[in-house]
Amino acid sequence: MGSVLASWRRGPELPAHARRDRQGRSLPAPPGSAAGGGELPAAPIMAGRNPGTKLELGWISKVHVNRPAVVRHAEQIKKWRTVKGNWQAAWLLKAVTCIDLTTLSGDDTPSNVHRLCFKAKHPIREDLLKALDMHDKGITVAAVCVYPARVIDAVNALMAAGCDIPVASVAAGFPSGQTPLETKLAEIRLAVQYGAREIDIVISRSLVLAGQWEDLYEEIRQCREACGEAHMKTILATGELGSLPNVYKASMIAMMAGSDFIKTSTGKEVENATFPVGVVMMRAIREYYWQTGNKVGFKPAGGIRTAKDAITWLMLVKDELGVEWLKPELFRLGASSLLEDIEKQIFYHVTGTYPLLHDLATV
Amino acid sequence: MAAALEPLPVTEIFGSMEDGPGAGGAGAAAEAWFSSHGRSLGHFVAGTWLKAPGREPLECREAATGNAALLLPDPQGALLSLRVAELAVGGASAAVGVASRSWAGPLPPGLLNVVSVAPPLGHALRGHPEVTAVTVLGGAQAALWGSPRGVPRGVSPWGGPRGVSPGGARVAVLVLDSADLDSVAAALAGGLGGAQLLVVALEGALGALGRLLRVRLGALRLGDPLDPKTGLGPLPQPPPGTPHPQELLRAALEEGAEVFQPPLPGGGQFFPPTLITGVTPTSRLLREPFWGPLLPLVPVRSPQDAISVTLGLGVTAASVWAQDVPAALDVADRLPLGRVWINALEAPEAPGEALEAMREFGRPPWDPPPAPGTLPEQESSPEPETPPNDADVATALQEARRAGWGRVPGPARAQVLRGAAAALGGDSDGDDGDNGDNGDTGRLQAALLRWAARMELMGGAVQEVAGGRVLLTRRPLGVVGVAWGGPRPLARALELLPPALALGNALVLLAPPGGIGPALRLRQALVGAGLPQGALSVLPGGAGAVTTLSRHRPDGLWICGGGPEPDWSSLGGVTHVWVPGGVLGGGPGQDPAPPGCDLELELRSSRPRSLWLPGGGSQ
Repeated sequence: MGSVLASWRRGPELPAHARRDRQGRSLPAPPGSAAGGGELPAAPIMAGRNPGTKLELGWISKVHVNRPAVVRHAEQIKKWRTVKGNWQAAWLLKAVTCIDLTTLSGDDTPSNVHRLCFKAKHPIREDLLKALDMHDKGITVAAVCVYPARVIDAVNALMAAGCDIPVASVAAGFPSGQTPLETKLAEIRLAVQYGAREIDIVISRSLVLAGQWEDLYEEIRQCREACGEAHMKTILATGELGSLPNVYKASMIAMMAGSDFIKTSTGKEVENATFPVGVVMMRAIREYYWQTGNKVGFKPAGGIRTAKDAITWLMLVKDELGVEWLKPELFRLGASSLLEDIEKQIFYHVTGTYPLLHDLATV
Repeated sequence: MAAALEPLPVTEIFGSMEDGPGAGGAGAAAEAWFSSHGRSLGHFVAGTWLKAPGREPLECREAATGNAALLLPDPQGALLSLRVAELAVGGASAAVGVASRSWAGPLPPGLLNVVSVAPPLGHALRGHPEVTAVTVLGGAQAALWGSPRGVPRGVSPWGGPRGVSPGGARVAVLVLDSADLDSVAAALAGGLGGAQLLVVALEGALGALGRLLRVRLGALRLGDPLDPKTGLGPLPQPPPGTPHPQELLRAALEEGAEVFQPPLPGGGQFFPPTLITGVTPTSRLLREPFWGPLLPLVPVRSPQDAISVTLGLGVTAASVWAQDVPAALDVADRLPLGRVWINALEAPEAPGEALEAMREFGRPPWDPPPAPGTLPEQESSPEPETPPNDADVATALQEARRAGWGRVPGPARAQVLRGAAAALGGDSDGDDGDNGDNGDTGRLQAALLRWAARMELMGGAVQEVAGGRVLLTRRPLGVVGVAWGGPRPLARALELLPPALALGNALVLLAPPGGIGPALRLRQALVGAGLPQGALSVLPGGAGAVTTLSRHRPDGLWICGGGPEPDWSSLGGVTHVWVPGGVLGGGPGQDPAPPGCDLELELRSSRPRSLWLPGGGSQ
């Protein structure tokens, strides 16, 4: 199958009567199970989980972030670190393999989720990949990200397509996080039960703004337990945290509590992923790695629409964290319309002209 | 070089994720530009391109390169380019510095060409074989070819052209406890290719900063300095007399320093970026200018220690890093440097900065240059008094440095000058009519009052620039020695002292023969009004006064009294030398203050200082 991603983990096998959702529809049997029809091809194992640490408030007690310097640094990377030609094509393909292809709209239905899953498996036209000699490298997106209610549709669609791209679900009171903890935990467990192998949880921003770090740590820790074997991405909603030092502290707390990824935004805030915020979060990831030896992934999300933005994000990651982070196990791009622009740029690179509307399959 | 690489296949790049070469090539744009301008250089003034007749290179004795100069100013220094053009075409004759007073008119055509082009074309021209060198104007001390204060420098000596770097200067980077160390490390790695950087860090921040720097230096990209993505270019030939960086490293290692060099692919002309810790205060790295991407780290215990160490490094600018803004401003205030950045290392030049520096070249309109071959009329002089005592001069200079007059706020200084004017007015009450002494005293009083009023109103200017604002002020030179090099009497030239004192300078005056009396009276009036002891010392001068003073290296040296040209080679240790001409130097004249002379005196008595304060994001 050759996907560059990993992560179909065998979840606990549920009894038949439990394999139904709230609408009474049958839940898919886990692949590889007897009910699921046999073995799937072995998929690469995702990077090791972040076990977290006990709460270390000393790591966040003396945080100094100079906003203008961070902004300047990000601007310089954006301005001076560009790629052209084959390099651009290669970097864009890498960006494709790191995309969490997302649809989080109130009007999502099984049909558009189905189309999204097809696009996830075939993000770039086959003939374009052939022209770049990349057709046999298993270029697919990293995951499909949907609301909990659409997880089953996504899982079914991907199973029908015969690929092992994981389904990620938002949970824990997405997008505002303003629900009781018990509700958040129940939502997480349900999403896992439906077949999601990655959970994007949302933190309570009020805990950050009030400096209640112990409570924040405890909340994330409980979400981590509710995720079970599913990977957990913690959305910090950085646009609502007030300051860059708060972003840094929230990042460290999230990682200490066991997050496998830290994510910038829900995509629903006024200010979503910005480069300065990303720089600060990446510096927190690096510091956590130096303290514990555990690598945590980074996911910017919201407002990433152009191929140039995608390359800038990759450049920032390479600059702050190094080349080893430039893989789907440790870097994701939360995007919905980004893929279209990337495919346009690759079309231009191969053919020398920009595509017409019908040249590319839209979701 | 990266530019010569063939494009790699996408599959290989996908695996390695390397950056690849930068966009564009150097040759085509430069060729196109030269072709469109008929392959000749000329003057570009006020929108008109004035071609030089023919294209013969002109000998320029004072210019270090000896060839026609092409200036490509940074777009943000557009005002500077206009001023340079003015000076080159029809303005003052000393556009190439104080030392080259032999030209009495505009510069020869074709010698100095000011071209305003977009930066990418500027960089492309740098790579053209017919362009031998390019100077980027900028900084508190603009360096032109022929200037006695600067050496020619390229776009950047050994790094990439990114940003507006300190460019060849020697810069101290002070890192306090509350600094954003990640940003400091990023800025240092980015600025390593453009200036001599010396890091002075508080002990609490040193360990973490060192670790971050090791990571950043290891990720620097070596390559073509014209490629914007290059972090470090090849090491060009150092200026004569400058030791190779390997020699300095060896010396530092012998003294017990620790050296970190990342395993970057290099060899040939490339020298790896090098972090040096455990540097002794007497190390050559700290005492001499160095050449190459070396980064010494010096630990200090406190901000006061950091200031003291910085003052001994011979730096021309400083960058202070601290999130505690009052602490950063306090340190910045106490650094007597022309340019200080707060939480930044690369910053665009404010429009007023270079203008201030450019004004240090040129002659005022009331002081036309002498026609070549003529000397000022020699007046008969009385017998010289006893030559100045070396020990007395040394003591006077030390007391002047300790007096702290420059740290007294402007309004308080104004009060002292007013008090002195009142005291002088009382002294002259008993004099008869309209004799010369009373006239001189009256003019001196007027000068004291005028400068007191000026100090009460004097402030700075705030320039908004991309990413922040720059506070432009003027700071005193420090300790100024005033000596007489000719026969003219002291009286008129005493009027030089009020502006110097008003602007915070301490003075050591070696009075000419027969002139010590008026000077002592002035001193008495000032001290009585509150001038600190040592801020004004009056000693008998005489033969050799100029040489004696210059030997003790005051911050400024004024040579009054007319007389022949001083021996410039003997004044090498003094940075600011001024030979006031015309009425200010003691020559004849009726007006107490020729129009425009106050500004001239202000500029001669002080130096520009810019404090860069970042704020918000860049637009």
